[in-house]
Amino acid sequence: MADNISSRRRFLRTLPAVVGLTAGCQAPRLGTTPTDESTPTATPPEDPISTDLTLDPLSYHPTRARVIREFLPQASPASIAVGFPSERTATTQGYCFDAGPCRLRYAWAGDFISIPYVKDDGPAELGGKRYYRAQQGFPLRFGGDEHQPDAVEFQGYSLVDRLPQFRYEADSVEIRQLVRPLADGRGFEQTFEIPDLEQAVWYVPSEENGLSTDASAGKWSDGRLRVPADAAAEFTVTLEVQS
Amino acid sequence: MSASEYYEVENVPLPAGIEGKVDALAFMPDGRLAVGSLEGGRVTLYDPESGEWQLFAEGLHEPMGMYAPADTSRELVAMQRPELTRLRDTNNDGFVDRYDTISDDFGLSGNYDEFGNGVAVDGEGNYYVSLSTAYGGPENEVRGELREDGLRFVRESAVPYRGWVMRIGPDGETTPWASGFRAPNGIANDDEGRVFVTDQQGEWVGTSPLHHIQEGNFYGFPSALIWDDTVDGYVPDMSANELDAMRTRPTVQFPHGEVGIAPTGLAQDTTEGGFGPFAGQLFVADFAFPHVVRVLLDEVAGELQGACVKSAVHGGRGGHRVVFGPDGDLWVGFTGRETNWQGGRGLKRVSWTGQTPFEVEGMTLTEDGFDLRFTKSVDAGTAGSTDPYAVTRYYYNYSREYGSDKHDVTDVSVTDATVSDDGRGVSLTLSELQPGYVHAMSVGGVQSDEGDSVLNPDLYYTLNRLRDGSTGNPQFD
Repeated sequence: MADNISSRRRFLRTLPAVVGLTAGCQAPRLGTTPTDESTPTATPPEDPISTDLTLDPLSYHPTRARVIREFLPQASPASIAVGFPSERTATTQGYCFDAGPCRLRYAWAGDFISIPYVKDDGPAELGGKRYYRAQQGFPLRFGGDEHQPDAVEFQGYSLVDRLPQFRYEADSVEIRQLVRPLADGRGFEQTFEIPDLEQAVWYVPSEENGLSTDASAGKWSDGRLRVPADAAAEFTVTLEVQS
Repeated sequence: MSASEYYEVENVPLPAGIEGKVDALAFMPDGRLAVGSLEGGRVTLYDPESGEWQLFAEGLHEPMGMYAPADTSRELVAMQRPELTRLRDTNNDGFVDRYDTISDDFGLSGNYDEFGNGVAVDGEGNYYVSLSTAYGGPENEVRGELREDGLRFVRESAVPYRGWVMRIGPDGETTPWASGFRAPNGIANDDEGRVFVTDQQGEWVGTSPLHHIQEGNFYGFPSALIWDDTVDGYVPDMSANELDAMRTRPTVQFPHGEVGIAPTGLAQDTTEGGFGPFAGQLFVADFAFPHVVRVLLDEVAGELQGACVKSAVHGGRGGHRVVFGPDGDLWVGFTGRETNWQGGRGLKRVSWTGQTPFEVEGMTLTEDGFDLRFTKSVDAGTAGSTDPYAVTRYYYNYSREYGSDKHDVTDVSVTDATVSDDGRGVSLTLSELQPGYVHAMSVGGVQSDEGDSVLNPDLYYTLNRLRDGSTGNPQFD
């Protein structure tokens, strides 16, 4: 089922408005001006990422995540498949981040993905079985734990510690999300960075997944996590398959 | 002389790990060629000096066009299916670590044929990308509003703005710019900031065209009009003549099979003579036609129209992207695929040998015929006679049928041929000129004063307007 949240729309109205594409936030877009974290440096890192062309981009890499934008099953056409670095996890794992609704959709264990380079053969196939599906809609809530954002806006991603950190906005609130695999067992932790927040944020976990959920900040109430504004600059939610 | 005496074609060696499906090309300021490919969504950099390849980025969703900013060789702007993205190597390790979404303000239905093509840039730094229509309805989630009306076509536009060219400002502001495209694979700008798009023969496209893109225009493929609320009436029920009254006709039509089949990427010759005597002209690749095609534009009554002709560059089928390098060479990327995109793969470098081919360099409309400009002085005996010239006119139907035969094919007499004082021009007078028709001209009997025959003697001029601005369109089925 598709998300109800409309992606952000900021079309100039030189042609008539398109029904259903609501005017979005007016914040300047990232990506047009270097930000503090991305100011180019002249000195490359001592341990650069391997760029061996013979490495299969559709297989896991020992030390860095594989990030492939592709049609994926049960997600929007703007989805991104991420394969965790295989050295960092006891079980090879991947997850789907959907750049349409701007949220993690599911995670699986097993091989990465295979892409049918044949017309009309459908989306990529996952190389393993899904162990987690996010069915709660947009997991972060502002202004109340039932309030899903009206509009989200995908802004891209950066490689941080060789993992993709996704950047997006929800109702003009800037969010960064970095997903790391658990070193042991099956599962992952999501680190959210929400700077300059003036109100609490709720994290609503997906139900019926059979995963344990823990958090680095905030308090749980009725199964939902409330993180005060002063702790929202960085907090981590861990989801682990219960053995 | 054969074409190979004028242009040398070199197959660029590919490293292990690259099959050679080339879907995007752009030269970076440091002289390296960026090559985008559907293979893992990779962008690789090729150094023509050293012959080395380097992985620059991966994971893009079928990058179909790139633009290299002039002020850095650590950054590219790439059009991929879901968005226009800025790729940046911020830590100078040679690998992109930051992907910034410039714009994703358009819909995706998840259909294979919904390619996103790019990237043209105007003089103000605006980007232009084209969005192909679908070939089937959505079977999964979509991005953007889904309109059922958009499914009532062969090649659907069920989500915004399939079948459109979008203008994207440097700050990401996105404007639906022009509509009516079927499978607009190629998009490029010239040095005046004018934007051109190639489209491909099929439903509502009698033969493949080149369009000069201008704001607000509709270029003929109807499903895109679903997203233009200025249109009165129910688009799926509109007749060909109703739609024809709204459309802007192709700037140049490529007669199917004769000078193109499925045109793809295009590039302006900006080499100032480094690639031969065709500076400023457009060169167009083609999936299924083995020649790169040359376009001879002509401004008539304030609008562009013009002719096309096979170029001397024969690279084989599968041509997808072309770009001129800083050394004056033309680089052609091929993308033969496992299924319907047949043809070669890899990268070819085409160099002018310095020998000038005897060709028609320019073709311009006059009040009563055409002026031809040749690359060399002509033999007055042959060129000054009407005998070497044969002209036929015809039009392609505009209908929901797939492609079109030639209609109302009529021979046109050449009544006078006068060689210019400098010996390189010929003014032809025709018995009639018919706007709305392609005027096909063969100049095969003309010789240069050195005895050369014209290397590519068949030209096809799309005559939309006469010099006085008058038009005259045939009625369609």
